[in-house]
Amino acid sequence: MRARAKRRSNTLSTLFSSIPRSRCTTSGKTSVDIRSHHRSRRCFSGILILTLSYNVYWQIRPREGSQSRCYQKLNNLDRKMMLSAGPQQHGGPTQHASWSPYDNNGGTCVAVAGKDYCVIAADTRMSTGFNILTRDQTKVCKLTDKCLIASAGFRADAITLHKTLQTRGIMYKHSHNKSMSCVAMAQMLSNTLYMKRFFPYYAFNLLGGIDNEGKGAVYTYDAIGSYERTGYSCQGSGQALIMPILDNQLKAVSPLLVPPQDGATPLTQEQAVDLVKDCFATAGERDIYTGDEVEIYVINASGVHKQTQELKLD
Amino acid sequence: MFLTRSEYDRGVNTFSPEGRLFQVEYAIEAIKLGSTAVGIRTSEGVVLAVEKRITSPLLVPESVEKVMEIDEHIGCAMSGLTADARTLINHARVETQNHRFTYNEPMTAESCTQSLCDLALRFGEGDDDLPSRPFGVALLLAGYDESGPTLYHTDPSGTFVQYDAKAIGSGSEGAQTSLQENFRKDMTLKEAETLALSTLKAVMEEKISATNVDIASVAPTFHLYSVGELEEVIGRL
Amino acid sequence: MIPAPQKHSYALGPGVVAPAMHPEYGRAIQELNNVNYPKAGGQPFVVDAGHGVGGPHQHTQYPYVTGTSVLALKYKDGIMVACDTLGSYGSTKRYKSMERMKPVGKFTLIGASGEYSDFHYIMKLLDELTTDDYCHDDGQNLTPTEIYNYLTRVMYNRRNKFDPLWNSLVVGGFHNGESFLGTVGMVGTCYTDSHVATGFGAHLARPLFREKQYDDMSEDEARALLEDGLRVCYYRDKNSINKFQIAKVTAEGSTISEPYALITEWGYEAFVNPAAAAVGTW
Repeated sequence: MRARAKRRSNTLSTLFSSIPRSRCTTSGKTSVDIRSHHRSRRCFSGILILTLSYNVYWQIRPREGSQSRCYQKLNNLDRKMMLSAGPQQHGGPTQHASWSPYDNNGGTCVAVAGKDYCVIAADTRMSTGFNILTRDQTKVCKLTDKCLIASAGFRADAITLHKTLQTRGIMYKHSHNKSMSCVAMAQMLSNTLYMKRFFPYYAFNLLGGIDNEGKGAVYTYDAIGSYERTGYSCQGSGQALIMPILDNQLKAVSPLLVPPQDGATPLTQEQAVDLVKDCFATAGERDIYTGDEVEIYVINASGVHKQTQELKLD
Repeated sequence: MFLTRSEYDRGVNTFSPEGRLFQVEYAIEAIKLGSTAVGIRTSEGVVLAVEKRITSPLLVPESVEKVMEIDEHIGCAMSGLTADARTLINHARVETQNHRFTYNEPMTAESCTQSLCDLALRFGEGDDDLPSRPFGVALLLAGYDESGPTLYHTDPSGTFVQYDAKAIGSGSEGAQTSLQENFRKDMTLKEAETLALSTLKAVMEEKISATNVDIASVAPTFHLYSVGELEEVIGRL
Repeated sequence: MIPAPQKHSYALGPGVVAPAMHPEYGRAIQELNNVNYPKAGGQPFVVDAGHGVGGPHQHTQYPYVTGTSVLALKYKDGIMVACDTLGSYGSTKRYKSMERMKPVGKFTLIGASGEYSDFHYIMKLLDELTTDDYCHDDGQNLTPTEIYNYLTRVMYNRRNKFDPLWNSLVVGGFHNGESFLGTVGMVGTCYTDSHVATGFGAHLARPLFREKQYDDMSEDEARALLEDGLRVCYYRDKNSINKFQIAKVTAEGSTISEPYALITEWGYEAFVNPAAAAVGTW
């Protein structure tokens, strides 16, 4: 007997005995346990206790070569279960120190592009669950003189991603004798994310900068590399709170217009910075993962300029 | 002299005591046997012109391909062992397409040339995918990128240099002199076409015709001239 | 694939399956709970010694001998770090004199919570680096920031292999007149701050630090504050004992104290009748 037995309630044992045998055999080792327990119940028919090795259920059991798939499957299941989950009276008597390779450290990023500038901003709170880990952790990383990235999500992934992009930006400069353009960085970021399609970076990115024509550019991404150039965007835990404000204030140019319209917003740089500050104040009011301070970077012809704005600490 | 050579020209990666790599130098010699190719850069674009040696009246002239497209904005003329050039050009095509895939932008002609020259010196390393000897071919790379029109010359030593006008191949000495005398910075593309062909004509053994030369321009995209267009340029000579 | 629901709970209505009604659903929900539990730095390390061994997988699925919270803060002269000396085996107080803080090189100190053997492994890695530094004898030594960033990559790369080092580490250091304090979790989550705490310490001690810590505080103040943190952790964390070490890293290097006990008071009303102040608990 491979696992330790636990007492189960009588009702539950009845319930399990009604499960057809075929169902029990669907999932490898676990099913063997169930069957053997069935057998033992038959042997000691007077005993009302059905022993179940619940603790072998549903751990992440990575094996060589199938690790990411394993986790992926688990993750999908999780998501599906969220839709149908009732009260969490799970029967597992023994809780394992099972682990997830991901964490969500929260945070919000906003970027607005104008005719000749780009504003990119992110708060500095880093959380996990209901815990604030630190109030002063930057989410923004300068990739080139004209291109910055801001990432919400899992901090460790974001750091790795930023370091990768920075390195590749430097290598590009060495091999091509020029700084990587915003457009090139945008494509490379997409590819870099997609390379980890089956074990994704849990990072939600905004890329902001000045393109080759000197126009403001904002690129917005999902975790696996789908991206789009827009005039403004928002990512992270406060996305649902801020995006409507931006839509309301800036109203994106329809992508269906022919010829394509310039996506840059009509705001002046000062107006854009004020709008970004308002957005963060709003998100900080309602989103527990957004707060402490917002770092606002303005990229224009004269370089990159940083300013900060305090947010609520609660 | 001859004696020292034969001692140090066996291994492709063996320096002679004077500090020379004879196999590379021999490869450069191979180019001097090749057909002549000319490249001229103007402010409008770059012209490449090559001589095709039609060795037999039964030979189909279109099958001799000495100007090739690398990417939309980069073309290449060759002289020497053209079979070696195919390996190089394939490499360049992969590199330029990779660049587009990764960076969503065209590769600059200089980077493309650099990547070709990196490959040119990777012979004799024992890798199955790499050649055991130097490439016996010189290339003229015509490009049009953010820095404007550019013309690069590469040789088997992996050296590359930028030129306003350059001739390679068997007739290169005479052709280069002619280019030096006639090239002007303010040439139009049309004038460059004429200069390229007249330069070729001067060094070619056969009479120039629409079948024994090829012209391509990169202005700003690669275009290989049709027979009609060729005849028009020949008519201007 | 989750099999289609065969039956539903009368209480919850059609189309909704109660967790306990189906083994597939039940275990998925059980896992859901695990996955969404805060992971980095904020979890007690549960051990199930009874779990069956064998099977092909070699990766660490859970820790065996663990240490609980490590607390640390910046003060005037550098960094002060503290933790107890308990090595828990599940809920057994198995080893009572385990040193969970170790110096690394000249300017740095590591405090570890979580799996003790993984901490040994990490120390082995770091000792190799510092030995190399010593052998080179070129006056170049790893700085606290470098050690911290190195550990960040080690932890993150192991999580990428689905074989994590089951630790939350605190890195404290003092170099070139600047103090450094950072922490790394088992999946690579890392940050620097003026005060940090792993495990329960993040819930129990950091609120005290947030109120009272400031970077210019004196050594006595820092020690008193850390001891307050240790005491509250000891009151509420069952996997802890009243045997602590306090270490400091300053310009003079790192020193780790001998283990000592704190004076505790168990006669508080809240301890006598804990439910009185929390209606609805038992």
